[in-house]
Amino acid sequence: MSVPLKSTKNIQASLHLKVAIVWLIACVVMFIYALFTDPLLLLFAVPFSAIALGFLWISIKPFLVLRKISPAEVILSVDKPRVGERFIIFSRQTAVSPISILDHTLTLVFREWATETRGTDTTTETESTVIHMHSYGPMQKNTGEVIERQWEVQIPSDAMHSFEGRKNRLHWVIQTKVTLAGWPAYEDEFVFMVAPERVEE
Amino acid sequence: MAFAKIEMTFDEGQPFSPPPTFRAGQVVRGLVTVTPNADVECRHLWVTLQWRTEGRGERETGVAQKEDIFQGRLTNGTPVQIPFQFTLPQSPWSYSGKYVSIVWEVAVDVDVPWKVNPRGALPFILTGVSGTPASAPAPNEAHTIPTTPMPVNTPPPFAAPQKARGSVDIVLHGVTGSENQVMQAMRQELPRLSLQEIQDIINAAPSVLLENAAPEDAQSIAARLTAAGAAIQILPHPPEAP
Repeated sequence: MSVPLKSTKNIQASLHLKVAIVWLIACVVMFIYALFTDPLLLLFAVPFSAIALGFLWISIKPFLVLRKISPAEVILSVDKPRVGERFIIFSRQTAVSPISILDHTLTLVFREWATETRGTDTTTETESTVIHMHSYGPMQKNTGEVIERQWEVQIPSDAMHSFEGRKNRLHWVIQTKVTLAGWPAYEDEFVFMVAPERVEE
Repeated sequence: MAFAKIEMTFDEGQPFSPPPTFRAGQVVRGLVTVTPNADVECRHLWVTLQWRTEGRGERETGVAQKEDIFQGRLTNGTPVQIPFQFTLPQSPWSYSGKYVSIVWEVAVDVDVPWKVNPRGALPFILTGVSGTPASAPAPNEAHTIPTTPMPVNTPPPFAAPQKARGSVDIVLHGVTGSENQVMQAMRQELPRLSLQEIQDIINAAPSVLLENAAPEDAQSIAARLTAAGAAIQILPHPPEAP
Protein backbone atom coordinates (compact mmCIF):
# COMPACT_ATOMS: atom_id res chain seq x y z
CA MET A 1 0.00 0.00 0.00
CA SER A 2 1.44 3.36 -0.97
CA VAL A 3 1.06 6.83 0.51
CA PRO A 4 -2.00 8.99 -0.28
CA LEU A 5 -1.77 10.80 -3.61
CA LYS A 6 -1.57 14.57 -3.70
CA SER A 7 -4.56 16.53 -4.91
CA THR A 8 -3.99 18.93 -7.78
CA LYS A 9 -7.36 20.70 -7.74
CA ASN A 10 -6.73 22.32 -4.35
CA ILE A 11 -3.64 24.05 -5.73
CA GLN A 12 -5.69 25.38 -8.66
CA ALA A 13 -8.48 26.55 -6.36
CA SER A 14 -6.00 28.45 -4.16
CA LEU A 15 -4.60 30.19 -7.23
CA HIS A 16 -8.11 31.11 -8.43
CA LEU A 17 -8.90 32.51 -5.00
CA LYS A 18 -5.83 34.75 -5.04
CA VAL A 19 -6.72 36.07 -8.50
CA ALA A 20 -10.32 36.67 -7.41
CA ILE A 21 -9.23 38.63 -4.32
CA VAL A 22 -6.84 40.85 -6.30
CA TRP A 23 -9.53 41.43 -8.96
CA LEU A 24 -12.12 42.25 -6.33
CA ILE A 25 -9.85 44.79 -4.62
CA ALA A 26 -9.28 46.44 -8.02
CA CYS A 27 -13.05 46.62 -8.54
CA VAL A 28 -13.65 48.21 -5.15
CA VAL A 29 -11.00 50.84 -5.90
CA MET A 30 -12.62 51.46 -9.29
CA PHE A 31 -16.06 51.85 -7.68
CA ILE A 32 -14.83 54.36 -5.10
CA TYR A 33 -12.95 56.33 -7.75
CA ALA A 34 -16.01 56.35 -10.03
CA LEU A 35 -18.33 57.57 -7.27
CA PHE A 36 -16.10 60.51 -6.40
CA THR A 37 -15.01 61.53 -9.91
CA ASP A 38 -17.04 60.44 -12.89
CA PRO A 39 -20.17 58.27 -12.36
CA LEU A 40 -19.90 57.18 -16.02
CA LEU A 41 -16.96 55.03 -14.97
CA LEU A 42 -19.47 52.86 -13.14
CA LEU A 43 -20.38 51.46 -16.55
CA PHE A 44 -16.92 49.91 -16.64
CA ALA A 45 -16.88 48.98 -12.98
CA VAL A 46 -20.06 46.88 -13.16
CA PRO A 47 -18.84 44.29 -15.72
CA PHE A 48 -15.47 44.17 -13.97
CA SER A 49 -17.24 43.38 -10.71
CA ALA A 50 -19.31 40.68 -12.39
CA ILE A 51 -16.11 38.99 -13.56
CA ALA A 52 -14.64 39.31 -10.07
CA LEU A 53 -17.69 37.70 -8.52
CA GLY A 54 -17.55 34.92 -11.10
CA PHE A 55 -13.93 34.25 -10.21
CA LEU A 56 -14.79 34.33 -6.54
CA TRP A 57 -17.57 31.78 -7.02
CA ILE A 58 -15.30 29.45 -9.01
CA SER A 59 -12.57 29.68 -6.39
CA ILE A 60 -14.83 29.38 -3.35
CA LYS A 61 -16.89 26.48 -4.71
CA PRO A 62 -14.29 23.77 -3.97
CA PHE A 63 -13.88 25.08 -0.42
CA LEU A 64 -17.63 25.52 0.07
CA VAL A 65 -18.35 21.87 -0.62
CA LEU A 66 -15.84 20.91 2.08
CA ARG A 67 -18.51 21.97 4.59
CA LYS A 68 -20.45 18.89 3.47
CA ILE A 69 -17.80 16.33 2.60
CA SER A 70 -14.12 15.95 3.51
CA PRO A 71 -11.36 16.04 0.86
CA ALA A 72 -10.88 12.72 -0.93
CA GLU A 73 -8.01 10.53 0.16
CA VAL A 74 -6.84 8.33 -2.69
CA ILE A 75 -4.35 5.52 -2.18
CA LEU A 76 -3.05 2.96 -4.67
CA SER A 77 -2.38 -0.68 -3.79
CA VAL A 78 1.06 -0.41 -5.38
CA ASP A 79 3.51 2.43 -5.10
CA LYS A 80 4.11 2.85 -8.82
CA PRO A 81 1.95 0.67 -11.09
CA ARG A 82 3.55 -0.58 -14.26
CA VAL A 83 2.14 -0.62 -17.77
CA GLY A 84 -0.20 -3.59 -18.06
CA GLU A 85 -0.38 -4.04 -14.28
CA ARG A 86 -3.63 -4.53 -12.39
CA PHE A 87 -3.98 -2.60 -9.13
CA ILE A 88 -6.58 -1.28 -6.73
CA ILE A 89 -7.54 2.34 -6.12
CA PHE A 90 -8.78 3.07 -2.60
CA SER A 91 -10.84 6.21 -2.18
CA ARG A 92 -12.06 7.51 1.17
CA GLN A 93 -14.15 10.53 2.18
CA THR A 94 -16.15 11.44 5.26
CA ALA A 95 -19.48 13.20 5.42
CA VAL A 96 -19.01 16.40 7.44
CA SER A 97 -22.78 16.89 7.74
CA PRO A 98 -25.75 14.87 6.49
CA ILE A 99 -25.60 14.67 2.71
CA SER A 100 -27.51 13.24 -0.18
CA ILE A 101 -25.12 11.94 -2.82
CA LEU A 102 -26.60 11.76 -6.30
CA ASP A 103 -23.58 10.22 -7.92
CA HIS A 104 -19.96 9.35 -7.16
CA THR A 105 -17.66 8.79 -10.13
CA LEU A 106 -14.06 7.62 -10.25
CA THR A 107 -12.27 8.02 -13.57
CA LEU A 108 -8.87 6.85 -14.78
CA VAL A 109 -7.51 9.33 -17.30
CA PHE A 110 -4.41 9.51 -19.49
CA ARG A 111 -3.42 13.09 -20.28
CA GLU A 112 -1.02 14.71 -22.71
CA TRP A 113 0.26 18.11 -21.66
CA ALA A 114 2.35 20.34 -23.93
CA THR A 115 3.50 23.91 -23.32
CA GLU A 116 4.86 26.29 -25.90
CA THR A 117 6.26 29.75 -25.33
CA ARG A 118 6.40 32.27 -28.17
CA GLY A 119 7.70 35.62 -27.08
CA THR A 120 5.68 36.49 -24.00
CA ASP A 121 2.80 34.15 -24.81
CA THR A 122 2.73 30.75 -23.18
CA THR A 123 0.08 28.31 -24.30
CA THR A 124 -0.63 24.91 -22.86
CA GLU A 125 -2.56 22.23 -24.69
CA THR A 126 -3.95 19.18 -22.97
CA GLU A 127 -5.64 16.10 -24.33
CA SER A 128 -7.34 13.81 -21.85
CA THR A 129 -8.41 10.28 -22.67
CA VAL A 130 -10.77 8.47 -20.33
CA ILE A 131 -9.49 4.91 -19.91
CA HIS A 132 -11.94 3.60 -17.30
CA MET A 133 -14.85 5.14 -15.46
CA HIS A 134 -16.82 3.75 -12.58
CA SER A 135 -19.98 5.31 -11.24
CA TYR A 136 -21.60 4.57 -7.87
CA GLY A 137 -25.28 5.25 -7.40
CA PRO A 138 -27.13 7.65 -5.11
CA MET A 139 -26.96 7.28 -1.32
CA GLN A 140 -27.57 9.11 1.95
CA LYS A 141 -24.80 9.65 4.51
CA ASN A 142 -25.00 11.01 8.04
CA THR A 143 -22.40 13.11 9.80
CA GLY A 144 -19.17 11.17 10.33
CA GLU A 145 -20.08 8.32 8.01
CA VAL A 146 -17.28 7.23 5.70
CA ILE A 147 -17.61 6.70 1.96
CA GLU A 148 -15.04 4.08 0.99
CA ARG A 149 -14.45 2.73 -2.49
CA GLN A 150 -12.18 0.02 -3.84
CA TRP A 151 -11.77 -0.06 -7.57
CA GLU A 152 -9.62 -2.53 -9.46
CA VAL A 153 -8.21 -1.15 -12.68
CA GLN A 154 -5.57 -2.09 -15.20
CA ILE A 155 -3.22 0.14 -17.14
CA PRO A 156 -3.63 -1.08 -20.75
CA SER A 157 -0.64 -3.11 -21.89
CA ASP A 158 -0.23 -0.99 -25.03
CA ALA A 159 -0.40 2.28 -23.10
CA MET A 160 2.44 4.67 -22.36
CA HIS A 161 4.15 5.09 -19.02
CA SER A 162 4.28 8.48 -17.30
CA PHE A 163 6.67 11.00 -18.79
CA GLU A 164 7.71 14.17 -17.02
CA GLY A 165 9.51 16.71 -19.19
CA ARG A 166 9.78 20.43 -18.57
CA LYS A 167 7.38 21.34 -21.37
CA ASN A 168 5.92 17.98 -22.38
CA ARG A 169 4.22 15.61 -19.99
CA LEU A 170 2.28 12.40 -20.12
CA HIS A 171 0.28 11.96 -16.95
CA TRP A 172 -1.93 9.30 -15.46
CA VAL A 173 -4.69 10.84 -13.39
CA ILE A 174 -7.47 9.63 -11.11
CA GLN A 175 -10.45 11.97 -11.12
CA THR A 176 -13.12 11.83 -8.45
CA LYS A 177 -16.44 13.62 -8.59
CA VAL A 178 -19.17 13.56 -5.95
CA THR A 179 -22.43 15.16 -7.04
CA LEU A 180 -24.42 16.38 -4.05
CA ALA A 181 -28.07 17.40 -3.96
CA GLY A 182 -28.34 21.17 -3.54
CA TRP A 183 -24.58 21.74 -3.31
CA PRO A 184 -21.76 22.22 -5.77
CA ALA A 185 -20.12 18.99 -6.86
CA TYR A 186 -16.90 17.92 -5.19
CA GLU A 187 -14.22 17.39 -7.86
CA ASP A 188 -10.60 16.49 -7.44
CA GLU A 189 -7.69 15.05 -9.40
CA PHE A 190 -4.74 12.92 -8.35
CA VAL A 191 -1.73 12.43 -10.58
CA PHE A 192 0.22 9.21 -10.13
CA MET A 193 3.23 7.66 -11.79
CA VAL A 194 3.00 4.69 -14.12
CA ALA A 195 6.35 3.01 -14.64
CA PRO A 196 7.48 1.10 -17.74
CA GLU A 197 6.84 -2.60 -17.54
CA ARG A 198 9.46 -4.67 -15.76
CA VAL A 199 12.27 -5.97 -17.92
CA GLU A 200 13.19 -9.56 -17.19
CA GLU A 201 16.92 -9.88 -16.61
CA MET B 1 27.47 22.25 -48.19
CA ALA B 2 28.12 18.99 -46.42
CA PHE B 3 31.55 17.61 -47.18
CA ALA B 4 30.59 14.03 -46.54
CA LYS B 5 27.85 11.58 -47.24
CA ILE B 6 26.71 9.75 -44.15
CA GLU B 7 24.86 6.46 -44.32
CA MET B 8 23.61 4.64 -41.27
CA THR B 9 22.06 1.23 -40.89
CA PHE B 10 21.02 -1.00 -38.05
CA ASP B 11 22.04 -4.63 -38.22
CA GLU B 12 18.32 -5.38 -37.96
CA GLY B 13 15.89 -3.48 -40.11
CA GLN B 14 16.02 -1.94 -43.52
CA PRO B 15 16.54 1.68 -44.36
CA PHE B 16 13.54 3.71 -45.54
CA SER B 17 11.07 1.12 -44.39
CA PRO B 18 9.08 1.83 -41.24
CA PRO B 19 11.61 2.48 -38.45
CA PRO B 20 12.81 -0.72 -36.77
CA THR B 21 11.37 -1.55 -33.38
CA PHE B 22 13.64 -2.41 -30.46
CA ARG B 23 12.79 -3.35 -26.91
CA ALA B 24 14.01 -1.68 -23.77
CA GLY B 25 17.23 -3.27 -22.57
CA GLN B 26 18.02 -4.70 -26.01
CA VAL B 27 21.47 -4.27 -27.53
CA VAL B 28 21.34 -2.59 -30.94
CA ARG B 29 24.19 -2.65 -33.38
CA GLY B 30 24.68 -0.74 -36.56
CA LEU B 31 27.09 0.72 -39.01
CA VAL B 32 27.99 4.30 -39.92
CA THR B 33 29.53 4.85 -43.33
CA VAL B 34 31.15 8.22 -43.95
CA THR B 35 32.21 9.01 -47.51
CA PRO B 36 34.00 12.38 -47.64
CA ASN B 37 34.26 14.44 -50.80
CA ALA B 38 37.44 16.16 -49.58
CA ASP B 39 40.46 15.27 -47.50
CA VAL B 40 39.77 16.36 -43.98
CA GLU B 41 40.84 15.77 -40.41
CA CYS B 42 38.01 14.37 -38.31
CA ARG B 43 38.42 15.49 -34.71
CA HIS B 44 35.54 13.40 -33.42
CA LEU B 45 32.82 11.23 -34.84
CA TRP B 46 30.12 11.36 -32.22
CA VAL B 47 27.42 8.74 -32.23
CA THR B 48 24.59 9.60 -29.86
CA LEU B 49 21.68 7.54 -28.65
CA GLN B 50 19.05 10.17 -27.92
CA TRP B 51 15.34 10.96 -27.77
CA ARG B 52 13.48 14.13 -28.56
CA THR B 53 9.93 15.32 -28.16
CA GLU B 54 7.84 16.46 -31.09
CA GLY B 55 4.43 18.01 -31.28
CA ARG B 56 2.82 21.13 -29.86
CA GLY B 57 5.14 21.71 -26.93
CA GLU B 58 8.67 23.04 -27.00
CA ARG B 59 11.21 20.46 -28.08
CA GLU B 60 13.04 18.59 -25.35
CA THR B 61 15.87 16.18 -25.83
CA GLY B 62 17.61 13.58 -23.74
CA VAL B 63 20.91 11.86 -24.40
CA ALA B 64 21.11 8.26 -23.24
CA GLN B 65 24.63 7.51 -24.49
CA LYS B 66 27.25 9.35 -26.50
CA GLU B 67 30.41 7.84 -27.91
CA ASP B 68 33.33 9.11 -29.90
CA ILE B 69 33.89 6.24 -32.31
CA PHE B 70 36.43 7.67 -34.73
CA GLN B 71 39.24 10.20 -34.84
CA GLY B 72 41.62 10.66 -37.71
CA ARG B 73 42.01 11.51 -41.35
CA LEU B 74 39.20 11.07 -43.85
CA THR B 75 40.32 10.75 -47.45
CA ASN B 76 38.35 12.06 -50.41
CA GLY B 77 36.09 9.38 -51.88
CA THR B 78 37.20 6.65 -49.47
CA PRO B 79 34.31 5.40 -47.36
CA VAL B 80 35.01 4.74 -43.71
CA GLN B 81 32.80 2.21 -41.98
CA ILE B 82 32.52 2.31 -38.22
CA PRO B 83 30.27 -0.01 -36.22
CA PHE B 84 28.34 1.21 -33.18
CA GLN B 85 26.56 -0.57 -30.39
CA PHE B 86 24.21 0.63 -27.67
CA THR B 87 22.21 -0.95 -24.90
CA LEU B 88 18.80 0.67 -24.97
CA PRO B 89 17.50 2.25 -21.76
CA GLN B 90 14.23 1.33 -20.03
CA SER B 91 12.49 4.60 -20.83
CA PRO B 92 11.06 6.81 -22.18
CA TRP B 93 9.43 4.63 -24.79
CA SER B 94 8.65 5.98 -28.21
CA TYR B 95 5.22 7.53 -28.19
CA SER B 96 2.96 9.09 -30.77
CA GLY B 97 0.13 11.22 -29.42
CA LYS B 98 -1.94 14.25 -30.34
CA TYR B 99 0.21 16.94 -28.73
CA VAL B 100 3.26 15.02 -27.57
CA SER B 101 5.42 12.49 -29.40
CA ILE B 102 8.68 10.94 -28.29
CA VAL B 103 11.11 9.96 -31.03
CA TRP B 104 14.28 7.92 -30.50
CA GLU B 105 17.22 8.08 -32.87
CA VAL B 106 20.89 7.31 -33.27
CA ALA B 107 22.51 10.56 -34.39
CA VAL B 108 25.91 11.02 -35.99
CA ASP B 109 27.91 14.24 -35.83
CA VAL B 110 31.25 14.46 -37.64
CA ASP B 111 33.32 17.14 -35.94
CA VAL B 112 35.64 18.76 -38.49
CA PRO B 113 37.62 21.98 -38.11
CA TRP B 114 36.46 25.07 -40.02
CA LYS B 115 33.52 23.36 -41.66
CA VAL B 116 29.88 22.74 -40.90
CA ASN B 117 29.67 19.37 -39.19
CA PRO B 118 27.87 16.82 -41.36
CA ARG B 119 25.10 15.14 -39.41
CA GLY B 120 22.82 12.20 -39.85
CA ALA B 121 20.15 10.48 -37.81
CA LEU B 122 18.53 7.07 -37.84
CA PRO B 123 15.22 6.92 -35.98
CA PHE B 124 13.86 3.78 -34.37
CA ILE B 125 11.00 2.81 -32.08
CA LEU B 126 11.71 1.92 -28.47
CA THR B 127 9.05 -0.23 -26.84
CA GLY B 128 8.59 -2.09 -23.60
CA VAL B 129 9.05 -5.81 -23.21
CA SER B 130 5.77 -6.54 -24.98
CA GLY B 131 7.13 -4.95 -28.13
CA THR B 132 3.95 -2.94 -28.71
CA PRO B 133 4.67 0.70 -29.57
CA ALA B 134 2.97 2.99 -27.05
CA SER B 135 0.31 5.33 -28.29
CA ALA B 136 -2.52 7.36 -26.88
CA PRO B 137 -4.68 4.63 -25.38
CA ALA B 138 -8.23 3.80 -26.43
CA PRO B 139 -10.75 5.36 -26.95
CA ASN B 140 -8.53 7.82 -28.77
CA GLU B 141 -7.20 5.07 -30.97
CA ALA B 142 -8.31 7.15 -33.95
CA HIS B 143 -5.27 9.43 -33.68
CA THR B 144 -3.11 7.44 -36.00
CA ILE B 145 -1.20 10.13 -37.85
CA PRO B 146 2.36 8.82 -37.69
CA THR B 147 4.67 11.35 -36.13
CA THR B 148 7.58 8.99 -35.81
CA PRO B 149 9.84 9.80 -38.70
CA MET B 150 11.33 7.29 -41.05
CA PRO B 151 15.09 6.62 -41.10
CA VAL B 152 17.16 9.42 -42.44
CA ASN B 153 20.61 9.40 -43.90
CA THR B 154 22.46 12.50 -44.89
CA PRO B 155 21.33 12.74 -48.46
CA PRO B 156 23.15 13.17 -51.70
CA PRO B 157 22.25 16.55 -53.22
CA PHE B 158 18.81 16.35 -54.77
CA ALA B 159 18.75 16.28 -58.52
CA ALA B 160 15.72 17.31 -60.49
CA PRO B 161 14.00 14.13 -61.59
CA GLN B 162 14.48 13.15 -65.19
CA LYS B 163 11.38 12.41 -67.18
CA ALA B 164 12.59 9.01 -68.30
CA ARG B 165 13.24 7.88 -64.71
CA GLY B 166 10.12 9.31 -63.17
CA SER B 167 7.23 7.13 -62.13
CA VAL B 168 5.93 8.25 -58.75
CA ASP B 169 4.31 11.30 -57.16
CA ILE B 170 5.01 12.61 -53.66
CA VAL B 171 1.85 13.72 -51.88
CA LEU B 172 1.86 15.90 -48.78
CA HIS B 173 -1.01 14.97 -46.47
CA GLY B 174 -0.31 17.47 -43.74
CA VAL B 175 2.10 18.53 -41.05
CA THR B 176 2.30 16.48 -37.89
CA GLY B 177 5.16 18.35 -36.25
CA SER B 178 6.61 21.83 -36.49
CA GLU B 179 5.53 23.66 -39.63
CA ASN B 180 8.76 25.67 -39.66
CA GLN B 181 10.86 22.52 -39.80
CA VAL B 182 8.77 21.10 -42.60
CA MET B 183 9.12 24.34 -44.55
CA GLN B 184 12.88 24.33 -44.07
CA ALA B 185 13.11 20.71 -45.15
CA MET B 186 10.97 21.39 -48.22
CA ARG B 187 13.11 24.39 -49.07
CA GLN B 188 16.19 22.16 -48.97
CA GLU B 189 14.63 19.33 -50.92
CA LEU B 190 12.84 21.46 -53.51
CA PRO B 191 14.95 24.60 -53.93
CA ARG B 192 12.99 25.69 -57.01
CA LEU B 193 9.97 26.43 -54.80
CA SER B 194 9.64 29.80 -53.09
CA LEU B 195 8.63 30.05 -49.44
CA GLN B 196 5.20 31.32 -50.49
CA GLU B 197 4.72 28.36 -52.80
CA ILE B 198 5.74 26.00 -50.01
CA GLN B 199 3.30 27.65 -47.64
CA ASP B 200 0.55 27.34 -50.26
CA ILE B 201 1.29 23.64 -50.71
CA ILE B 202 1.11 23.08 -46.94
CA ASN B 203 -2.15 25.02 -46.69
CA ALA B 204 -3.64 23.08 -49.59
CA ALA B 205 -2.68 19.64 -48.19
CA PRO B 206 -3.34 16.99 -49.30
CA SER B 207 -1.47 18.20 -52.36
CA VAL B 208 1.08 16.87 -54.81
CA LEU B 209 4.55 18.00 -53.83
CA LEU B 210 6.55 16.47 -56.63
CA GLU B 211 5.31 14.79 -59.77
CA ASN B 212 6.90 12.08 -61.84
CA ALA B 213 9.93 11.56 -59.62
CA ALA B 214 12.30 8.61 -59.67
CA PRO B 215 11.24 6.12 -56.97
CA GLU B 216 14.64 6.12 -55.21
CA ASP B 217 14.75 9.94 -55.12
CA ALA B 218 11.14 10.12 -53.98
CA GLN B 219 11.78 7.66 -51.18
CA SER B 220 14.75 9.56 -49.79
CA ILE B 221 12.95 12.93 -50.10
CA ALA B 222 9.89 11.46 -48.40
CA ALA B 223 12.02 10.07 -45.59
CA ARG B 224 13.65 13.41 -44.93
CA LEU B 225 10.38 15.32 -45.06
CA THR B 226 8.76 12.76 -42.76
CA ALA B 227 11.63 13.19 -40.34
CA ALA B 228 10.96 16.92 -40.36
CA GLY B 229 7.32 16.31 -39.41
CA ALA B 230 5.43 16.00 -42.70
CA ALA B 231 2.88 13.30 -43.45
CA ILE B 232 3.98 12.05 -46.86
CA GLN B 233 2.67 9.40 -49.21
CA ILE B 234 4.30 8.11 -52.37
CA LEU B 235 1.85 7.18 -55.11
CA PRO B 236 2.45 5.74 -58.58
CA HIS B 237 2.38 8.47 -61.20
CA PRO B 238 -0.77 8.10 -63.32
CA PRO B 239 0.00 7.16 -66.93
CA GLU B 240 -0.23 10.08 -69.32
CA ALA B 241 -2.89 10.05 -71.97
CA PRO B 242 -1.50 9.28 -75.44
